[in-house]
Amino acid sequence: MILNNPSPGRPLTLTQRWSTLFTVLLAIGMFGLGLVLRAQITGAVAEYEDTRIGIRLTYPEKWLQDTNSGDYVFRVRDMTRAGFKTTIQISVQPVSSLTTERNVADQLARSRVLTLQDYRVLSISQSTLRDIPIEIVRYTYNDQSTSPFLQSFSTVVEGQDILTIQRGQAIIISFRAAADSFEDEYPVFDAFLSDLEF
Amino acid sequence: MQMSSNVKLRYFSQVVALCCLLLVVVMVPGTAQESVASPGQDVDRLKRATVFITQVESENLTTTCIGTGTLVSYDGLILTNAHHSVLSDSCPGDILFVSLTLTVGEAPVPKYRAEVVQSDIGLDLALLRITQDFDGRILERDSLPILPFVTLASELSVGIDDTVTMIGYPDIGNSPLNSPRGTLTSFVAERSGGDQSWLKVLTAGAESIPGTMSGGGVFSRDGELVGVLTSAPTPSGTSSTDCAIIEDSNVDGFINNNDRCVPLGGFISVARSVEFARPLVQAAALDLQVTSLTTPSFNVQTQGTPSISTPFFAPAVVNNQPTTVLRSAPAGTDSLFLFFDYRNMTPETVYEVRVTVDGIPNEALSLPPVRWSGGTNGLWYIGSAGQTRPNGRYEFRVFVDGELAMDAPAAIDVGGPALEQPQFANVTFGLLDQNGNLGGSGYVLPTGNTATARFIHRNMTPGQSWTSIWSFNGQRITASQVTSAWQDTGDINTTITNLQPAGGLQPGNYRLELFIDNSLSALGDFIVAGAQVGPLARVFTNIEFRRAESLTAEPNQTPGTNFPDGAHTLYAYFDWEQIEAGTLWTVQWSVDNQVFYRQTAPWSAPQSGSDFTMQLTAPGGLPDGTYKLELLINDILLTENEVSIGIGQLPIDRFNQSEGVRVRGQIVDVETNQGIEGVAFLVISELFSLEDFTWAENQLYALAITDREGYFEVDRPLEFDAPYSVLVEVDGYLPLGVDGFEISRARLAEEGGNPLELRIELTHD
Amino acid sequence: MSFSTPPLIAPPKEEAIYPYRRVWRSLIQETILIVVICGVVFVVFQYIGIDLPALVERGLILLLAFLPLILWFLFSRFAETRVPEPRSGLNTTLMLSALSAAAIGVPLVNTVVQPAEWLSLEAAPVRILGYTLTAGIVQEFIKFLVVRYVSGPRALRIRDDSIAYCIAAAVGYMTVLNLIYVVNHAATPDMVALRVLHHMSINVAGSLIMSYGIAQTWFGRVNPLLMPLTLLVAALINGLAIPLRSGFANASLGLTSAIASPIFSLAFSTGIVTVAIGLVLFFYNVVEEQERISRESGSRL
Repeated sequence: MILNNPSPGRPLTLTQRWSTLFTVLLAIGMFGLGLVLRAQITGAVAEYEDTRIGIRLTYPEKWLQDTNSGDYVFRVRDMTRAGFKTTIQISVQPVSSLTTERNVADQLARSRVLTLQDYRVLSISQSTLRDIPIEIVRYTYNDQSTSPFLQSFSTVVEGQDILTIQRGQAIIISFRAAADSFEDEYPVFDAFLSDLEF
Repeated sequence: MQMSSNVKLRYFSQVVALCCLLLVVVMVPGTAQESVASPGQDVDRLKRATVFITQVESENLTTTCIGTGTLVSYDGLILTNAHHSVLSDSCPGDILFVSLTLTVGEAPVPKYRAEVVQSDIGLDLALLRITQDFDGRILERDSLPILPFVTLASELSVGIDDTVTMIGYPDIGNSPLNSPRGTLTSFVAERSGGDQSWLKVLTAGAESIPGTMSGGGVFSRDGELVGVLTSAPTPSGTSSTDCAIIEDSNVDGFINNNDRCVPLGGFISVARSVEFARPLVQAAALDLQVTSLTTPSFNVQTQGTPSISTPFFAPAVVNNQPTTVLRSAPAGTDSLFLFFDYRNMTPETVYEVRVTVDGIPNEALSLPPVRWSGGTNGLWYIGSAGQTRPNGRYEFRVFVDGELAMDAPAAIDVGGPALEQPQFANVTFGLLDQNGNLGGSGYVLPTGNTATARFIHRNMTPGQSWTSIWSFNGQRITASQVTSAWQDTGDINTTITNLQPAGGLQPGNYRLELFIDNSLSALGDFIVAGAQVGPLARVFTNIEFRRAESLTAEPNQTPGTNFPDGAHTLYAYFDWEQIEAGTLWTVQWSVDNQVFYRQTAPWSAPQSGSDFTMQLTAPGGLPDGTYKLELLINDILLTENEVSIGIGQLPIDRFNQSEGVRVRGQIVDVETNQGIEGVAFLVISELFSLEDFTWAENQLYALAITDREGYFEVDRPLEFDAPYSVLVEVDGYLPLGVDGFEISRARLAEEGGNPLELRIELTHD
Repeated sequence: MSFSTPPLIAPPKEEAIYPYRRVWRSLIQETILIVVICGVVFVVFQYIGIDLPALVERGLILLLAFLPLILWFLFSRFAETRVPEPRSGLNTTLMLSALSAAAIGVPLVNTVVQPAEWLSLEAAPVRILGYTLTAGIVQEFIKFLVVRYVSGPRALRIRDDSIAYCIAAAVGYMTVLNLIYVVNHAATPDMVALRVLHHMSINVAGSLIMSYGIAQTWFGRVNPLLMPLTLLVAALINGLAIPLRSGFANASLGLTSAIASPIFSLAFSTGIVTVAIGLVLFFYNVVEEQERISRESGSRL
């Protein structure tokens, strides 16, 4: 049985027009939902609060969280990321009444140059974080595989410290990511800062 | 025809038998040396924990000394010899490079720099800690990976003829590890460490153990470290076999005899018992540092050349004293010790004992060149117990710094029946009470008027001439010499003799020598110090402890024995009475009954005084624990006290575990078959399942990240039969996870033993 | 003189000559060949472990990537030239689909949305939903747009035309996916074969379903929501097939290994395309039968 299109040259019927419109709308809508789903999944957060230090924050879900180190009071790492694990950490240092954020930045640079390979400060600038004056230090260094029995190339890491002095202690909020993905990852840090209360 | 068949058959059977014999001959040595794996021994782990140490001068980065070491903790503590790692005239380098065996079967690769954190020059042991990356970048404790390490045997668990494995680097770093198996042939006793001071080892094929393996480990069948291979290069050992010129150290463009010769050491045949290393390891692991703050009043440094004198033999040793003096020994003698006096020795002094039996060198009884561990002056012994010796004439020659230090060899004949000769033995010292009983600690007497010695006599006949002579600080007291005829003592086999010098007993070292018919038959040393309290000497008193908030802070005024809020630095004070300068005294610190500091040194403070001060500290503050300070002379405990810090118990180090399942492997992309870099292999503690895992680091037991080829190594061994969970997750690939990742010993054996190799294929959408 | 009666011969029955290429036959032939070739390559390389010179292997991989296109040319495009009423614009459809895939579809999915990056660690329902709303909808919508605005409506004369054009769009799209895969992954031939089969299965399945919606919208009296519904189903098929295929193939972690099972991927992809062809063929038959019945009943009246 051969059924020819009775009118191949004719204009589209109303049903065909509506169908096309609905199809286009559905496709756009579904894709939009897909983007929403993506945002929900990538933006999922977990909450953390430490009343002893006085911080409350959210961090990306499924990032490995650690508070058991002497070097920092809080650290999260994106362990599911291949290569260098993007890291956000908060550390505190005692300061005197004369210490400024700039002093802390310089002291950090002096100590890190001994422990981090090719540590270089890229810039130091002043800004505010919700009306709190902060010092922003951007830096870079080479991260190496920790296990001596494995073979890995160094990763160029870009980092940013946000330094502020609160209640007699310097609070250092650090964000580190592989240099080639630093900008892509930075929104995560932005979101972290926007939720951070200290 | 029939005969021909029989001949052929016989010929054929002979050929088959010969082939079988050849096969057995070819296979047996290999089997004996290589494939007999001890049940508890993970040779791969032992090899990975063995490092090559290169001491380098920072000025022109030329090599000064080399040796082997063994990692004894996960955080980078290396046990090795002091002679090739501690800065000295023969090893003037100030940088220590640590090379690891990254791939078993290949030469070591430099990875880190280390620093000496504990050392005992005389014992020739040093503890290094990895503190910097190869490029000099400081490595903080947290940034150092968990390294493979070996455990020290809890007690010397090997016996004579036990199989041991020796691991070390056979040359100047060009070759892979050498790990010959061998046997422990005997123990060598020494004054400083008792019957098991040295372990004599011999490889299965009697091959020589090169000197560069010095500092390497000797491991029991269970894989525990029982000894440190030791061979000190003699100062005069500059022959081409003892040292190697490998670099243009004077930068003249040539490598010739004008350049530095890197000492290699002679062939090794002994290992220092790991018992000596335990305090050093404990102190280094806890970062504890003991410092004496009391300024020395006297210089007790050695002056003059080292020498030895008065060699004699004894059949046994009691409290470091010879029981009696032997002229000959009967057949079947299994214990024999050579005693001699020594003077002006230093920890850098190298001594050696060569023994011949009927003129033939006996390697089993000889001691190769090793460092001196006995202090400056005193009475020394070397020998062995419990090892039957063949009959013959034994001649001992002692060499000091490569030179023969005796006019004539000390000789003794072993063989024949036991002779019933007159003999004195077992000299002990004390004070007589009113009932005529000898009291006291035996070898430390208080100052007073009289010292009494009691000794055993055998086979003495009445009227036989005997002599007693007392000595003070190495000088015989002529007036004390008494020669008399032996009187019948009936059934009593002990007798006493007294010393009553004019002006009383002065503090110092005393000796009683007993002669029979002008032949030395017994002797004993004792020390006089302190005031008299009954028969005992009160030498050290009033040990008290004070805490300080920091290394530089002043200690609290109030002493205490319990500091529940911890302490950064601890000060110990004690008073002392009547100690002669140069008297050897021992200070011993322990925490939770584990000794971490023991030092015997000549007394250098005034004769009496108060508040001798010692400082105990650690960079990060003292760990919680119960600390004990003991003060000894002649191994006699004179006083002790302890102090509790924090909870009074050492914290448990959960990483300090070397036994278990070592897991490593490769994670690959299933489609490309190529390794995936940067994948996290998470081992979740047995307390949590995958469902319970909330991505908190304290829920993890271990963590590994793959390298550029996708290889990973879990840095902590997994405990047997513990149900871990494992999670492998990386963006872009489907995750893999499993609960109940539990491995038994049997399963590990089925899989070929350690390490357990995993191949993990990841799939992506 | 005698003569015999000539035998009565029935006049030849006038056959209705079908003027168009039979798309189902071409499609089934191409599908079977792809399944067989990919299956053979997979078995040979996965289980026999044949080792080819690098250049030959590279050539084989490229051949596999172009396999759907080659078979389509052989069984569909050339066949089109031998029928009285060939379909025009198939080449254009294929090319535009391929270009759209290369220029829009693949970059949008792989570079912008990157569902594999954030969906791989999620639970299965989320993964299915995620792929449906991203990779699935983008792929099927692009192919729909190509067919709808480039080929149709003037080219659509019969229902089967919808299949022909949708399959042409699918071949263009899958060829780009194949090429991008082989260029960006140093995969072995067995894995390329699986990937080619996977791309073929999801594209053919999706396009067949979409073709049904287009055909019904053009030739039947249906609700205007049918076409969007078929797009949704086509996207859902993608959303199901992408995570389920890798899920089936994924390894389970044991004490000593975690070895993937790609054979399940082969079976799954084959199953998907077989079921899709069977179902859509069934639907086409049902609606054509319904139309025949209604036409016959209409003519009787």
